[in-house]
Amino acid sequence: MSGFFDALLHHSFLQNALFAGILASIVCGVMGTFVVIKRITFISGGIAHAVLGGVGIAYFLNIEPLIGAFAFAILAAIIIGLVKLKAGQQEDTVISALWAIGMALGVIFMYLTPGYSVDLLTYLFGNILMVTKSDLLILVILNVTILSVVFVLYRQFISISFDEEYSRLRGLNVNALYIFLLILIALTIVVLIQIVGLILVIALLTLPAAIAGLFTRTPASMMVLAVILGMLFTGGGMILSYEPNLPVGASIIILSGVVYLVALNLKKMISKK
Amino acid sequence: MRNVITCKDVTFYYDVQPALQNINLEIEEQDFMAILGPNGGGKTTLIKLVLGLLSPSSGTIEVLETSPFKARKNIGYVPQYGAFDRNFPIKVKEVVKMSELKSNSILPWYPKEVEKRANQILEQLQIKHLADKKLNELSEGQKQRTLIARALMTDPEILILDEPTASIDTNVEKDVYDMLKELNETKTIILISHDIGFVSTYVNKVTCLNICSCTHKIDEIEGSIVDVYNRSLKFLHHKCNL
Repeated sequence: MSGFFDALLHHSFLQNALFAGILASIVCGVMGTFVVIKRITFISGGIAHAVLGGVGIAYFLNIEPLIGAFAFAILAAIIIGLVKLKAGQQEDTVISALWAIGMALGVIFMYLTPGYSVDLLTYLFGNILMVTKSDLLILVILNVTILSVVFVLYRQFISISFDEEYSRLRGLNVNALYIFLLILIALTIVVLIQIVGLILVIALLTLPAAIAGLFTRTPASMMVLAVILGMLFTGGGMILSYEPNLPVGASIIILSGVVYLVALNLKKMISKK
Repeated sequence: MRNVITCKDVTFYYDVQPALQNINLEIEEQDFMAILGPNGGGKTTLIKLVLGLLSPSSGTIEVLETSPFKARKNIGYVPQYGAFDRNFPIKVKEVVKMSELKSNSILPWYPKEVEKRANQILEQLQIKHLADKKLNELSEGQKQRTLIARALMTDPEILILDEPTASIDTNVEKDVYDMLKELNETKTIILISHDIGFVSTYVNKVTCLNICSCTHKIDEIEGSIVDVYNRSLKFLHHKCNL
């Protein structure tokens, strides 16, 4: 463990990684709370996988992959939002289709681009150690944007999460708020993909919030605890994986998963007493 | 008494089969009406039409002399509690205040008047001491009171309740009905129920709904309550041909 902290002092890539983990944990805890209380894990998974389509196309067109990722994430959020609002019972089928089509597009376009294979793996599993200064800047901008929006619309988002029909009756613009919420989640997902990759992103988005939900009484306190947990998990995952040289993203998720299981049992024991 | 809700020849299709057919319904100011009927008889659909959440396939609905959509703000709605996520982390007082949330409420807190009004309503419904409890820590009766408090926040002219006593025991059920009776002094109340026995001591009108509808004034139903309850299904079936 001391090896990690020594290295942290000397290597700027580790400092960047730790900083990225902290920044990602903030948006992750805040938006993850909405994903958990509104029960839209599956929808978020659909958005995450559709992102790969955007990345693939961006590579093929030789533009910045992150731009493709953001574009597809927002597009997927809007489409899935509209599907949810209009399609009723067909919702999960349509989301599954988008999920798979997005990935398939990504795979095909990456295949058509020379030198694709390394990049594909990075997007699937992420690599926090490769975060650059400009990535950090984007993370900072996203944090500020998402946190300001949530600060203003916190109660509206909680209201549509708690009781959509009643919110509609009281005159809230439920459709617009819902799609807006999905877009914010989509932006968060793109950020998190850089840390743990799209295969593991949903776990990182939901586990800290789910654990926090066991021990808190309001969405706001759930967010705060989820942010702290997210920081501990990303930091802890980096420390644990450093000596044995394991993949960082997967280590973060294993750590989160183990803590979640322990927390579930702890909660059961507490409520039995 | 003026009509607060008027349905004329209202028919509604979800699919091929009509969920409601030729519904004619008049609800007057300060009525306390129960809508009775089997599951799938269209009770909730009728409520959603009155709230403007659905539009009739044919026929017209007028609420408070305007369209259901425009009248919404003067209706308090209490949905079935079963529709909620039981673990949602929210406090009683927050649920109640949410009634006053607008799309353009930019400041992330409620104005003082809303806080004051929420306290007042919680006091009125005798759940003030629960204000900071998490919703899922309450008993079923207390949850129901919370949802009624939320509906009363805006001081609506009409209060609509969907099976308010479906999951609570008989003692608490009586409390809820007593409370509604009190509210009925200033408000029109419509409630969905599948149990005529208890309801009939409180309401002044009963609408039987099974795709088609038929309305009875409660004092036109002959015999004592027990009689009606024992014979109710056959008796009312016969009378409405439903």
